[in-house]
Amino acid sequence: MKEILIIIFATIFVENFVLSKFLGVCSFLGVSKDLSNSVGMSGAVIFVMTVASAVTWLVYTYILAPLDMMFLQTITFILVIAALVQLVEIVMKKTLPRLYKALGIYLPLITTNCAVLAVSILNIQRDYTFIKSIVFGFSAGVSYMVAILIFAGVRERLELCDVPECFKGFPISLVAAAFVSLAFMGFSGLFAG
Amino acid sequence: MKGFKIIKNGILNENPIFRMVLGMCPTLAVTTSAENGLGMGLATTFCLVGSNMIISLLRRIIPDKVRIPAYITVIAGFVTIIELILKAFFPALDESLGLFIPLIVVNCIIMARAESFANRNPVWDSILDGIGMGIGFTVSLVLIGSVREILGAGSIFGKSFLTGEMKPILIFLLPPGGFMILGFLMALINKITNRTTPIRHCGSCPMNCVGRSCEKESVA
Amino acid sequence: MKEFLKPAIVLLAVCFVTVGIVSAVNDITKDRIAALEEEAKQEYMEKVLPAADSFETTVLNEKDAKFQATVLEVNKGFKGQEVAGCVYLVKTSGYGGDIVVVVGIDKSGAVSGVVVGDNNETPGVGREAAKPDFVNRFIGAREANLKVTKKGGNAANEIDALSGATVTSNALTRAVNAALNHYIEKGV
Repeated sequence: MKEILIIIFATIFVENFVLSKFLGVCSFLGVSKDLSNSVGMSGAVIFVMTVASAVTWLVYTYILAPLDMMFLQTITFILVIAALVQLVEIVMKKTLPRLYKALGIYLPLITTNCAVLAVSILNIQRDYTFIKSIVFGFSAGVSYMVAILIFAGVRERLELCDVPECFKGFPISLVAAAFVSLAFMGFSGLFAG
Repeated sequence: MKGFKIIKNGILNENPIFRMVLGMCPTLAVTTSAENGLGMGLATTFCLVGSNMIISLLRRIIPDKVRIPAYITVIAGFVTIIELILKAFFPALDESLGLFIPLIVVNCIIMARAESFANRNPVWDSILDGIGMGIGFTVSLVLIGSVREILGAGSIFGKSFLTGEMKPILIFLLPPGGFMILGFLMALINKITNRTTPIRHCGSCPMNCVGRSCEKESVA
Repeated sequence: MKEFLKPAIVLLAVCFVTVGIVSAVNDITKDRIAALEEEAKQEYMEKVLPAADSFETTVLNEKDAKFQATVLEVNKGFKGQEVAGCVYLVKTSGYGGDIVVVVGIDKSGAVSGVVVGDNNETPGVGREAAKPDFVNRFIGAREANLKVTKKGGNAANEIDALSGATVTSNALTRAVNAALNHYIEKGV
């Protein structure tokens, strides 16, 4: 149990996927302009990451490993994730139309979100059990959410600032992200020894 | 010469990092040294040229319905090949780049070029586009990597130039430094070229602009 | 139905060809990859236990709850026919992820060498702890009671932390403790 809690808190704060590991940065920078978009995107990310963690773990453990085809990991994982996202979109459209309205448009974007593929690969690399993989996937999604929500707030303040012409848009956002990342560095060492 | 124009486009006008702002994840993560930047750039170029070539070759054969999964498969194939080659012949580079080698498959640049160039242009042009984008990506990575390495480790390509008393500014090798250096370099380049890089709303990956209101890339 | 058939077939064909080519490349490279790994490992082991010239590996993957480490492997070192000591591969959690530490214990029960495997520790700080200047502080230890101090340890079991790299220093200390613990409890 303690290990599970450590995974959750360490992933969200100490090794935040976006601010520490640089995973999911593309969409993080693009979507954080709007707070409501950010919430929607985060929800979709958490969902996909959790389910993808589970499915890719199963595929690796029961198909790739026994057949000694671990080198096909990258290809299988990304195809599984792409298929999963498609499936989730279709199912959500039919069964949970309201949720689809809120999250649906973000789903295709998540296929190319490196964080999802990264979580799947890390689960295997760290030899996590099935339960731990799911927890890790979920926590990674939450870490993305925490980062993007904080950043959306920061960007709202940025809007009111007088930014030099050459910094407008991405550059100033990146610098702002640097400071959020710096703040999160304060959590490091929280779970050591 | 048209070919030259295509290559130049990838390096300057549509530079993947500084102009199109694609492939942010590996850019921030592997630029802790000039050498890592170079390694990642070359690995990505290999995948980019390969996938552009194959996708252009098969552009009339792959039906639109299965376009995306087919592209993903081809790209993933090249990424796996480079993964194995690095593990076998360049283990040190494999160790430094780590997780980001398999992540080349979700590098927006490759999918973006497949969607917007390779699937509607002839093979040779697509290869050149891959080379141009690849060089643009590599040069940018080496630039960012060098700045971070010089400031953060006091060396360039592994060769230290610090004397006994001088200490490097470590923060530039850490995540906050990565964000900051990229931001500043982008601003600097904007200033020099008198342009700006506004943030697009579709999450910065052109693949997802399909069928929506975001602008689609088209060169040539 | 017809309109699904052609796309499906094309997609399957692309998949098959891709997997085929990748498998071929895998066949070509896998021996070399395995050899490189073996070579690297041999190099580490000889570095920490110079007295030995051959090793016998037992894979354990035993978790050590007390030191939050996993003893991955025990390699009995031999010089000729005589047991020269033991090399332990221990995995602990550092600042940037897992670290594999190679700990050599000679036949008198003292740590003879420590080498840190590839890791994600912070360059300039944690990564400095992987260098001989720091890891050599472990040499000669016999009891699994090593502790990191920040005040310039003088007692036999105190390891002076590397400034700025407390997490990494702790991780390495735990690894050495786990190895010593295993040696003391279970012998060679």
